[in-house]
Amino acid sequence: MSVAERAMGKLTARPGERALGVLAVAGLAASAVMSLIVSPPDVEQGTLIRLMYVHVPSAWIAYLSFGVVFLASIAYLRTKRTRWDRLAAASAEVGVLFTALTIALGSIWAKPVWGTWWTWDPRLTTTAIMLLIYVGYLAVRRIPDSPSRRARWAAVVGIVGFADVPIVHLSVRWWRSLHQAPARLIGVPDIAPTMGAALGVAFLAFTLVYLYLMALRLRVGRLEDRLVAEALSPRVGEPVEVLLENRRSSSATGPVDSEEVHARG
Amino acid sequence: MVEIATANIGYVVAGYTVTGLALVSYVGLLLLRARRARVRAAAIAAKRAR
Repeated sequence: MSVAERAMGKLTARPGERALGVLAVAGLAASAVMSLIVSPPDVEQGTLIRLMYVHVPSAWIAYLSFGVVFLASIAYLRTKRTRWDRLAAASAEVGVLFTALTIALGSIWAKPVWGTWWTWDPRLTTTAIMLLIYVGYLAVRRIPDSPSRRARWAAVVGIVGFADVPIVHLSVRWWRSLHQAPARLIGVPDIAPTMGAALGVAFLAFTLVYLYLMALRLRVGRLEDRLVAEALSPRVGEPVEVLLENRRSSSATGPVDSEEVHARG
Repeated sequence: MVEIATANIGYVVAGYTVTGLALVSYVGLLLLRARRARVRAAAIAAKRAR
């Protein structure tokens, strides 16, 4: 078992999940204090700058989520282990949530600053395309097909779809854009220290939220897989653990899912 | 200064409300899915035991 798999196992165990939940709530509370009270209003945008502390970290979590989808998809294609497929599915779902949130928050911010809720600006357009790609990824996962083939197709979409992520990030440099370029936080920062600190705390809080949501979503994934194993098991009274163990031990010969194990059963 | 600080505060409130609602709704949905899967698995196991 790899280091990554061991770390994933620890984080997604119930005590780890609870600890992450507590840390995430504490982080969000600290971020709210920093963003709404400590951080001063901006000279030009006034209090609207406070939207930056939720909009920018949401975008960061969207990138992070799709990066995890990309890596987990590669790991799945290499190892055919179900856990990587489950990790990619969980991260894509969280990523879609945060991409939608990023667009909604950007829209709320754009209305008073740009005078419009939406414009076909390169950053906005590539972000909308990114959302569509990963909604498509989730749709691929719902196609009624062999679970292993579905996982393989999803992994391919997860890898190819990631190409849009750097395009989204660099779109403000490559094309003329209404959207501002990213603020520099490392080296000589180009935002006030208090604002930089508030943004840093917000990044940390949202990362903790991501880890908590992932732990929760992975537990749901395991429970739903277990339910499928229960429902499809033809062997009355056989413990689910035995069936799942069969699946794991037979995965060396190829991508075998619970359904396939039971179909053979 | 006060004018700058308070103008457009509705958009800020809307932004933070949308964020809070999205996160709480998703956590609620996941907890519901987990509970539903557990209950259905238990029901199937109980049916087999009979």
